[in-house]
Amino acid sequence: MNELRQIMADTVEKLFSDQVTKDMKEAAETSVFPEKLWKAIAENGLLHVLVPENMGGVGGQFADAEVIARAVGRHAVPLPVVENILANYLLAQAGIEPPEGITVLAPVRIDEKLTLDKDCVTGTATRVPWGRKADHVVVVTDQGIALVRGGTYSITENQSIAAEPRDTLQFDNSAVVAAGEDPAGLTSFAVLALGAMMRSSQMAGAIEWILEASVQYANDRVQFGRPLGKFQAIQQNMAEMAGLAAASGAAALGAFQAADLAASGEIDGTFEAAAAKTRISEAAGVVASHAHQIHGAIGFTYEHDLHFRTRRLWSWRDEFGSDSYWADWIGGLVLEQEADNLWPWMTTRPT
Amino acid sequence: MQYFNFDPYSLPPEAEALRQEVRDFLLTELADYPAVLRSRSWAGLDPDFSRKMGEKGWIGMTWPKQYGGGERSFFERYALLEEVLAYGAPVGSHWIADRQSGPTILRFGTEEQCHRILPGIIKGESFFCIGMSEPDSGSDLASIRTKAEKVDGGYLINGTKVWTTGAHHCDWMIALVRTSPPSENRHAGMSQFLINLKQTKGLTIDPIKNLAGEKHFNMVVFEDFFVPEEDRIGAEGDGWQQVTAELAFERSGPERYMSSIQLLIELIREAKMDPSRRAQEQIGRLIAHLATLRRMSISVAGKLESQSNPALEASVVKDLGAIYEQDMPEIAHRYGRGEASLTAASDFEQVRAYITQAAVSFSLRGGTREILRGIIARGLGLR
Repeated sequence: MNELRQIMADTVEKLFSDQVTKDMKEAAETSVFPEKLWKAIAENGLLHVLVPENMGGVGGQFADAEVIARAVGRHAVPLPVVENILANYLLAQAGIEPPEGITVLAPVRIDEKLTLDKDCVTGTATRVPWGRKADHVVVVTDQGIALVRGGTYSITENQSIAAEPRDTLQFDNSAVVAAGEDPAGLTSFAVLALGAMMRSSQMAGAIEWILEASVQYANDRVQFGRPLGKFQAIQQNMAEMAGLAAASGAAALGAFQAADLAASGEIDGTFEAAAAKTRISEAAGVVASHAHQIHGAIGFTYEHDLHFRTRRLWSWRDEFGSDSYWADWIGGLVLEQEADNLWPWMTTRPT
Repeated sequence: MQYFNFDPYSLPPEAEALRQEVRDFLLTELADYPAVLRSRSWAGLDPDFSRKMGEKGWIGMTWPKQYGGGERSFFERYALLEEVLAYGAPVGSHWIADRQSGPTILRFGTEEQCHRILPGIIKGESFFCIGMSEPDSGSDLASIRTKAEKVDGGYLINGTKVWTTGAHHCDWMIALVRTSPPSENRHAGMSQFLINLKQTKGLTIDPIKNLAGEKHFNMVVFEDFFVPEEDRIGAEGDGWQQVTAELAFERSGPERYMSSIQLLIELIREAKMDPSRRAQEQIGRLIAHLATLRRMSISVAGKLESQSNPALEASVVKDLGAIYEQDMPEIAHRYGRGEASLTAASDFEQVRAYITQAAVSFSLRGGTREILRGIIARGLGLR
């Protein structure tokens, strides 16, 4: 990790450790928006990590954004941080200066299409993270990328399994603030892959936290006169969980590094995003299961911290394309090629 | 808290250049090599092929030039290993010598041993097997009972080694034996010896047929078998520490997730002919695993290159690799509607038959799943 990235990692770790309390996460589940934390995140430039310096951003790489996404997952930060990072990135790519306030993006589902016509957006986007709180929405259409102000569309509130806002936004000739053509082929599919990449890293972060909490619990909790961690049955499951955590971290970072290579035109990084989302979404279910098994009944309570991560895993693995969606996409990519080309192709992928 | 380190590495240009060279060689050499034989992976034996690899300078390629090695990087070696595994080359004859026996001699052996032994390995003419397991000592390696008793000019060895892959065609074994009786420190009192398998007096090698009918592994019995003093590797009593280092080499390579790749290739070939595309998603899942394992495995190679200890991370990759490789025949079975058989008409069913039978050993050989997970649990601070 380079120096700049390390500084960013330390900054977000400190910020989230200090401010993301259990009370905050609980309150967020009843729609209380943590304004102070959001302000601190914005002031630290985290939302502008992927915006070039000449547009008032940090000019960071995707690998820098990975540090933030990982920490958001690790601390179960109940805010649209990665969504806003992506929205600002898309705007910057389209030559539009990102606005202040909360900006999210839509659509987040591959089967939904919105249209941009005569500077107006029309269509319905479901399950938009924090749609209700957005000051602006970045709408990705086949006709280009549009920035729409809040209040110009109707909102139906909905939520994820982790009680994060996932709202339906209905645009009916909503006037855009600005619109730009996507310069780098940022189609709705490409945006879906970027979202999948973000969710991959968030899941890897949540899994990291879950592993540490489970190790801690196994060492602290005594039954039959010994800490749980001394029982081989427990050790075997914990080791499996650790392997999945390691694979998740490696896959997530790989996707962001590939995105950096893609940004410089060297490769198309969709495969790495797809592989990360597939691999980590598969791991998520097993990790959640082992973590709850070791924590016993206390981990099944609302009182305990564990569910803030496990419920997010169950939610995030479905979003921006589930593992089933992305595995099928990878399978299609591979089946288009000759079987004997599998290995030569694999060795062209970045590691 | 970070328990493991899987820092990413990119293979350097010289490794990619070597990859192409190796691939071109294999495409020519193995042009007519059948899929089912490729699926034997690094268990496939062909001394002639090993000699050709030796001529190319592709055995012992990271070792010092003074012993005939190539002084090339671990990344170059890694690229070479990937290629021979990907194409199912019959590398089994020299595999163990190249992977762990040579490095053990290089690290702990004497100058004389290096000069005497390593050039033959490098030429692809001197083959090794591993003398660790015993009838009563599997996962509990420290409980071995084979012993070496000091006599004039050397040692007399008595005891039995088992599951010794390749002993019947190898020239040497590196055996872990007791040089002092067991004491409170279970890991004390063991030493490693070079066993000359061509020296027949006091040595019996009996092949053991595996469940697929193959004769890969053996029972090796020592009865007053004489080993000269100069064939002890390292100091008396340092055996455990040396064998731990050897196991890190044994567990750290790409063969821990690539030995079933032929089945994946045949599954893709089969699925391409199937308009229903029933296997598409499952293939995608396997590819996602393959890509992730490869990234992690290259990270382990990076640790070898930077001289740091890969033991813990290697255990993680081996455990994940075995799960992936054992899932593969099950996935192929759920997809397939024919009958797996070594005498089937299709490559897919032949390879499926081979891998289905072989895969159960993948979480046994080189350290069982349970042992690896014990190592990982220790890395987590649970033991």
